[in-house]
Amino acid sequence: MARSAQAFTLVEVLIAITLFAVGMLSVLQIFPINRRFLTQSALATQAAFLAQEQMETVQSVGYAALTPGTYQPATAASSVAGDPLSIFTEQTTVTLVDGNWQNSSTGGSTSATDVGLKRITVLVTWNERAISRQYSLSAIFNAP
Amino acid sequence: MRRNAFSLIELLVAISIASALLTATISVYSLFRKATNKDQSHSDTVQSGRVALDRLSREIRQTPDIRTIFPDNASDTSPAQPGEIEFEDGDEGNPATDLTYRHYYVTGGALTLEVRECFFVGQNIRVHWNDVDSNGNPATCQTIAGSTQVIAQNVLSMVLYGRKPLQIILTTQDLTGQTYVLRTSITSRNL
Repeated sequence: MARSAQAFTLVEVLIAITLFAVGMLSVLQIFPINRRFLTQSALATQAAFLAQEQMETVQSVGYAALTPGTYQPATAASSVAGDPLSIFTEQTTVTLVDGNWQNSSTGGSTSATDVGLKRITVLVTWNERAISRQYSLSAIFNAP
Repeated sequence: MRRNAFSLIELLVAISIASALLTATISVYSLFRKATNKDQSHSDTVQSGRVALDRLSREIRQTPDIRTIFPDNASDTSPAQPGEIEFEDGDEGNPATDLTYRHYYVTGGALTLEVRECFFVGQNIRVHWNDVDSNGNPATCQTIAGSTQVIAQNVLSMVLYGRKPLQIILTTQDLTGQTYVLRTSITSRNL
């Protein structure tokens, strides 16, 4: 009645099942990670549109009215409670640019030489899972 | 003889282990499918909003005339929020033949576009919607047959404020009911 050497023992079967379960669980981890990337890209898309909004709004003011410096200090994109966009903060800076399209050394102040070029920089920041993220949009605006 | 055969107990144990494994595998698989569907629907919704808003921005930026009037902000109730927009196509060559209006509206969960044209009665030269003919009669506008098309699916609403800049808030919704809001503003270059 010797046991056949070709059969699996219970321990072997249990080890196999455990390995299988561990493998499955590690594959399952892909989903939360994937979900996180989806959220990340969805938020980045919202931020990009908000930056574009700010850029369009600032440009519609006209060249002369854009005082160099922090044109708009960091403000929430929405003050309405419950608005999903209220997690975003927007800040707009205007810098005078020299003839080589570089920021003038004193470009952030009104005393710098104005050659008819200003750089508008919109910075959108938000927190995602306690990580601070940002999207920056920059454009050169010329005097009419 | 008996040594080569399976006992009933061995068979039962083998069957129960096999079915437990099978059940586990199937439930994991169905979990995969559910998660994939949900994520796919969510990313489709985000994509839908992005495509729609990009397209609208580009077209509105070059329009010479926006026909629809919008309230200035959320607290402004006059006029009421139309939830749709009709503007002149800024990409026209010859006005007499190419002058059209693009009408975007939300219907049945989809952002839909129809192209409209305006004529004076009895003539076939395209005119502006607010033009009047020599007798003082206004133009009549109609949707060009076959021009209606869906631009983006999963769109819940489109809200617009102001004029220059014009703010657009597009809300999309995925299959699980989760909403996604995109907001931007456009200053039309030709208004």
